[in-house]
Amino acid sequence: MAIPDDVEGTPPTLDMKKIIMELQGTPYGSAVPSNLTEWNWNDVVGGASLNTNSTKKPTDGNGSIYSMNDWKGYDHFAALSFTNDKAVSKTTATSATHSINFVDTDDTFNFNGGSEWTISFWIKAGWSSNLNTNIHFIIGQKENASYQLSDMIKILYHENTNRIEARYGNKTTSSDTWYKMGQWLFHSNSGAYAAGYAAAGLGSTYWSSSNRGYANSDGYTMITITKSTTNSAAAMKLYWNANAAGAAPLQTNSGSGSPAMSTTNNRSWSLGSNGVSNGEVKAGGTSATLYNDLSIFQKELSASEVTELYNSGTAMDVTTHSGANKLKGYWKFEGNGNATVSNDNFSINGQSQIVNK
Amino acid sequence: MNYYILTEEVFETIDKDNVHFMRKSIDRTERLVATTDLISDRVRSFQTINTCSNYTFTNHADWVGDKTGIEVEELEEGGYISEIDD
Repeated sequence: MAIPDDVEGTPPTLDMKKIIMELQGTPYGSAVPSNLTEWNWNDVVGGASLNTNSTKKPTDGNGSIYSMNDWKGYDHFAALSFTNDKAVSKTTATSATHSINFVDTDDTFNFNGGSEWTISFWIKAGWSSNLNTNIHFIIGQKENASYQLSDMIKILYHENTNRIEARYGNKTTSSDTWYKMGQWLFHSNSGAYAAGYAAAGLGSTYWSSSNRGYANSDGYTMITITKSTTNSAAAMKLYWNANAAGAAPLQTNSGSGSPAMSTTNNRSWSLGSNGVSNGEVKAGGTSATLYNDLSIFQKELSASEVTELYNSGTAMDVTTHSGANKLKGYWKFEGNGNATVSNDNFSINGQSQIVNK
Repeated sequence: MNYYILTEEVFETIDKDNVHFMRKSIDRTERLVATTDLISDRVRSFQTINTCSNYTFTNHADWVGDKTGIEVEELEEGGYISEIDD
């Protein structure tokens, strides 16, 4: 705003009416129109977009607009506040038409057998005890792969056996194939299975929408799989919320790890179904399963770091996590599938949609 | 490997150590199994792993709750553990 230095009076006095005129595009030095007699400062302030930190009208909570002194004390450089009101609903409808997917073209998530990584997400089970097959939570695989296993990492749940499975590996021909697979089951409180039983809190009944085990007040469970740099099924660990289930009691190491997983091929990542090459099916039955706050680290999070991520059952702003320097992907699903970290935005298609969590 | 649909009663009599894959029907009255044993008392027998898989896709309402079927990969993986997968 340009206010001339030859204002009148001793000492010089600014004319508020002329300031308003200047703000509205009429030069300060112009004559004051006869109709410019009364000003309502609340209208001026209330009509302006002054608060870029929030879409809410800047009131004090009691219906009164903040005073100018309040605005002076406002931290205009504060970080955006973290909200967690939404989640993404993966419809039980199948095919790419209803998928939640992105293609990683810049190799951000091209982990191989020797990579350490962590994949963590919140999930609200929608399947019933009659699913009797598996539901895929997340899968990354070579774009346009002939085989599901090509450059693949996936996490799924077998409702028929009550097991979470994490698997990675590669397949380039029908004979050139290998994978490392860990499975954790939750209904047997004995031997190697007792850790999973204690971690999940499902009891002897299988995981479903009617038996969510340890979940927060919204019905969500945080599932985390970590992997060290060792190329083995034993390198993967499961956490149910902050509860460590440890390495998988059921491990399969099929093949030697050759041909190696590519670090340059584009990979297609799908949430809530079994990937493009298998037709984006295995999405559950009965009701949609909800997913929220997916994070991928290029690091094997420790037990204490998973506890920090769990944050006592309240999803945190993962960009403030102590391991955030290794955070490669982070999707909040607050309104869309766009990434907060990485440039890979999920496309949420068809009947899959953002919903209130 | 041999692929069968068995009644619950017959399944209880077979050697579980030789069972590679098992899936209960939705109504829990039958079992689809992959086993190295030859079983004569069966509801249905399949020539190949593919015909077995295809049957479950055609009759998915009996075998899975998501309108798909049992994939060949699942049958190949097996994973049956007799002491915990009853």
